[in-house]
Amino acid sequence: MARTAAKKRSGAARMTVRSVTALIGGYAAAAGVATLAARLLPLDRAEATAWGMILSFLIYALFGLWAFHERRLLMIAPVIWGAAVLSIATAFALGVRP
Amino acid sequence: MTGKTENARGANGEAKSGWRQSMAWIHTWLGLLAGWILFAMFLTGTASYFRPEITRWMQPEVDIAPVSAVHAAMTAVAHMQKIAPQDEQWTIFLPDDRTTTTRIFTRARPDPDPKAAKPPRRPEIRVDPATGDPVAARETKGGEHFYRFHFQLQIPHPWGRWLAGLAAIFMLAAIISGVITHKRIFVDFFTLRWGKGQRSWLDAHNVSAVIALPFHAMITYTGLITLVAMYMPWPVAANYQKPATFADAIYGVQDDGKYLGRRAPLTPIGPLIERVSHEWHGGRPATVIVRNPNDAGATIQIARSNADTLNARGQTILFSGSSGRRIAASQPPGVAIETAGVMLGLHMGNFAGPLLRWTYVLLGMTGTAMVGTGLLLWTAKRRREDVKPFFGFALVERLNIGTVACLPAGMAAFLLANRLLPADLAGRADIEVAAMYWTWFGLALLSLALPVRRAWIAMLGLSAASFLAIPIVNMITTDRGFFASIARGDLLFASFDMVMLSMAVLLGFGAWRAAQPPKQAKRVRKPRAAKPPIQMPVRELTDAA
Repeated sequence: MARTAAKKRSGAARMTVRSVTALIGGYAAAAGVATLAARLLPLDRAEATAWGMILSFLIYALFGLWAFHERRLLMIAPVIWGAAVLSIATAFALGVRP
Repeated sequence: MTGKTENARGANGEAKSGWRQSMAWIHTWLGLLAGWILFAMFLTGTASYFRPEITRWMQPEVDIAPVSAVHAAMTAVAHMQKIAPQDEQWTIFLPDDRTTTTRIFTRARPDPDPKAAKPPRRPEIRVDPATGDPVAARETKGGEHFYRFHFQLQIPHPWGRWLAGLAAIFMLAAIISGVITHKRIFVDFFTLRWGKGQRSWLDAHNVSAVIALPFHAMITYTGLITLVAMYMPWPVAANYQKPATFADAIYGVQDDGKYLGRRAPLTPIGPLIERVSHEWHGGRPATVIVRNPNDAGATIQIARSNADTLNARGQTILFSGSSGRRIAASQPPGVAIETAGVMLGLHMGNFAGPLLRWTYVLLGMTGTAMVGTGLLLWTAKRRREDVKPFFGFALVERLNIGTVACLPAGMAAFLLANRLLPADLAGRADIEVAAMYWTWFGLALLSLALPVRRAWIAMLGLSAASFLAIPIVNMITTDRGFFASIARGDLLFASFDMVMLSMAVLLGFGAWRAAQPPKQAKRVRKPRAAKPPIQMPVRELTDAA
């Protein structure tokens, strides 16, 4: 009985981490990737910006779905949060398009 | 969908990991968590395709004959010169076939002292395009109320919009996962088995989802795009020092008009309207934005109506407000900007003529049905006659009743209040809105006092009765009842009554179905062994094991 309860608690904690990764990590990663694309696409400034904005929601949805598809939490958390940190840091390092 | 997850487990109890199984699971939970908000967004959003028509119905004393755009623009500007000649900006929406009054929003010049409080938002001004006099009609929010609720949910800015956006991204993920879940998508299209309990709800959910799948996907994605500047502003920040520069790029014309503080009379608007109509080969001017009127730096922007183009952001021409000189015109947008504009246009459906507009409404109803049946499917799947319902089950069931059965009554109450409140009552517009929420939430609370099935029957029945009451109350309180409207060929008022009757029939049918004794569904699958009724973290448990 005690073991089942402990399992349940651990399951709930993992589900919480997974949900936060999907919802917030997924948003941050999508924002980072879309922003980087907007900054780097070799297009007119306004066009690149608009493509980034238009595609951002698709990227977000796919990150979110994958976060619940992939069973290994140790896989999704580093990938999603890593993508977020890396893309946002790169966007900051590049600065505003000259 | 615990069933699917269970089925995915092989003989040795190991969970197979497959896209269909994981997507079925996430589809269930995304849909459930966002379902109630999505139901309300779909229903009020569908009503918003008739935004101007609802407003006209809610001001039955207004009966305005159409005038030319030139005349409407001249009377509107004359009125604004009278009441707010020193304001910072007038935004004038000229009347068209669907909106008979001229609608004006005005913004006071902000106090140059940065510490001063922002001037309060002024209410919308509606004037008669023939005379320029304010429309003498009962005060109401009209169709604007459903429209605003549809994406702001009556929650203070910006939280309502964020919540609506969250529901929309859940919807998008639920659509993608739903498509992956249904391998038999075309078979589902033709399968609807009535009176088979859970199986029927699944069929109904599939049919309503699949029949209009392209519409659901389109409306969800384009809905997110309408507020993309708020939800996803970061790409703009990466490319522009000032976000306003991007806005100029979107609208295709840069308004550099600065307030100079030197008085100069505003150029007559009539010739400018004539000029743009000519330049657009008869394209109708829809919006006139006057910045810094009566100042030497004044500008006038005239935007083309999007009623005849798929792109919601039409062409714009900019004039000097003091000399009338044509300063600039919008350039044709690039592919991405055009795409975003078309997405906006597709969502709002302003380009749609009557036939396409009704199609939009029917598809919107399908979306509402899809969300509603999905919510009911969740409970149908987990209902067990032999076990006392667990808390989560009871909560979902009660929220389903409070949303699916009670919101329609609230919307009807909004329309009824419009007819029943005295026309000159102070603050009546807000009371109409309050009537919707008091009715909606009041009935939802009241339904808690009844057992579940009786609550469904009573609330659906009350909703049906409220819609039935609308044409009757309209006939009693105005001289524009159904037969009078038919006699004078008033298609708008006659159709409005018919739509209210259809809603009453639809909800009445729902109440009648709910009143049928539940049939024991023949289970397609073998009955499962008794087990805890909810298995949400089952994947996580196998993870943890």
